Amino acid sequence: MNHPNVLIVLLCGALTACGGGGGSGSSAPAAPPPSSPPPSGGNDQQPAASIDSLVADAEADGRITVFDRSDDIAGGDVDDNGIRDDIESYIDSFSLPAERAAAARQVARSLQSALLTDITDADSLRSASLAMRRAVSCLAQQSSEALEVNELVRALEAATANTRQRTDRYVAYNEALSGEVLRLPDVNACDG
Amino acid sequence: MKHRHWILAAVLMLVGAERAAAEDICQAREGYVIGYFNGVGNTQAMALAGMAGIKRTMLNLSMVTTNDDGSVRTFLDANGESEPVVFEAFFNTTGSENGRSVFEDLVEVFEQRRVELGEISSNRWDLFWASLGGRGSRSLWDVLANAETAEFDAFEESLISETANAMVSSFGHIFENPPTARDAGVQQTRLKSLALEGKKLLLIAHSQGNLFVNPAYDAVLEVDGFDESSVSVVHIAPASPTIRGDYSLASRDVIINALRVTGFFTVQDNNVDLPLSHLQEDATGHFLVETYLNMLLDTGPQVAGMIETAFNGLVSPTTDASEGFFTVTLTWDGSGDVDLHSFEPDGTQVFYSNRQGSSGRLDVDNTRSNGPEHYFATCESDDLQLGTYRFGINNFARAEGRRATLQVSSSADGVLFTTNPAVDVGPAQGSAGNRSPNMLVDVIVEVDDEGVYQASARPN
Repeated sequence: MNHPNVLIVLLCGALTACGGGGGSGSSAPAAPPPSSPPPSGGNDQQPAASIDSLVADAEADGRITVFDRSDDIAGGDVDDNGIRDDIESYIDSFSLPAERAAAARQVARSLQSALLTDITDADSLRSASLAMRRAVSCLAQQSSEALEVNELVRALEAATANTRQRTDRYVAYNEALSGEVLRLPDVNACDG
Repeated sequence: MKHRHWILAAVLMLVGAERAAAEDICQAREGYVIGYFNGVGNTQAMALAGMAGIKRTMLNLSMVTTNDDGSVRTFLDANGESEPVVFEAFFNTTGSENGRSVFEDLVEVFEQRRVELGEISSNRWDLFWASLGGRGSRSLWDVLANAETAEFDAFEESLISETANAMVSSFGHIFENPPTARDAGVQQTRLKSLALEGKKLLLIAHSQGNLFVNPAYDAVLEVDGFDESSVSVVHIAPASPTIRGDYSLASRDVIINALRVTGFFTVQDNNVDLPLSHLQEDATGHFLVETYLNMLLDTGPQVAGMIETAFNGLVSPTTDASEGFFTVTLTWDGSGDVDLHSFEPDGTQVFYSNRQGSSGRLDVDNTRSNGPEHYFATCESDDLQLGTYRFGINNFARAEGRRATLQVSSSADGVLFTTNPAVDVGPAQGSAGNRSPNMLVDVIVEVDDEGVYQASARPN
């Protein structure tokens, strides 16, 4: 089964048609406005910034969170609450209402647990899976917007699995669950 | 007079105790199960978020409602009754043409493409997840995309194109290697259990999930007494040559259009338009929540309408198995007679020749092919023994070479345990095997300090 080149042509056409910015219009999760002007865009005449400087500027002025990119899977968790410190800051940057922020932290904790769980141990795997199901269900109960829930979950997932090592572990966790049936718990989904 | 009050109180306590002893400890009877078959490249979290999106759609459009405890039910009918509605993800990651998972292919694609961004991308794999949709207004991906540099635009185009290639190839792989009863043992056994227990089933599939839902739908119809009136399928962006129900396929769904161009197999005609401008929000035009559940587009109302029609059209099956406090279901992958044997905490053996136990009953026995066989433990707290229930199987006749799946579920939590991979049923032993079945799983029933009953399962 070959990869037809026509696919690339077709997809490039779609992206060109939308300006090549698939995703730039993403709306949630309820982020505050940037604390500094956005980087130079296509409408001014300034030369385009390098990728390196764009990233450095965005991290320096707080438009994006500086994530832990250490080699270890767990990363820094000074208060030992099961959530990486940088991801707690990331959640704080969304300025969510208290109950929704708590639900987002529960999702982050469950994602971190997924990275750290021993997937060869059936009980551990099942426990991690249940924690994630409860967390996503809790978040969905705290938000009436499916798009917000979806974007928060995906943003936290991207932040949690943000290195090659963490991505590999997270992929392995998901592969271990493939073929399972996972109920979305409705009752007592939220911690505490 | 004090004595009279004391006697009255004692009588009330006795009545109360009697009521408590007869407590129904099951959380759900009959009702609906919404089964969601996820799309390509989904993690568990993505699949759950998608399923939560379906649930939100049904709540927002008043197809269902919630109790104070968060559980979902239908609205009261003319008789003042409503039924529980639960949501279960039939989760699958995806195989690919080279034997790896599609995730491993996608990781490889990103590893190859990220060099276009230079050294700064070396350990920023949040960009990888962003390419699958994990972005937001405070993500690195959006900062770079909004900057509109030629460097990032070229990277984005090539990455998304090759990501789509990998996804489309995975569709072809699944099509050429469709899930067998053995591959899909966990999920098909679950569906057969639900059908036996009288559930109405609404199966919603997105993208690659359509390649899994079709055989699942066909398998559940093998259950005696269960027919098309009790199960419906809604196909969203079907990456499949055949369908079992209504479908939604957007004109600018880039992934399905690419699949169509490859000629791997024929897909359905587009039946809903998507504005070009929407591709700024979802460059693939394929994502479930961003596109197909989006009520601001024509896709959202179309999908919601199909869900509502299918949901309202379901009728209860005539199957007669019971949903107990916990249940054990046995299936196997072909002809022959495999038996389920249960040993209750007091030692009672429940099997085909002694179907009524002290705490449960074998209410479905199959002697021909595939199963299912089904044991349920009572919902009455005064009859349900605490302790360990043990379950095993015996190849009674004609099932050599078959593989069996034994699945434990509870009314409160859904699937608790499944033998996975399936287990060889061994040589035919006839009734001699009744004394020594192959024991596979233990179920432990406990009650906590607050009087809440719990079931857990572990391999034997």
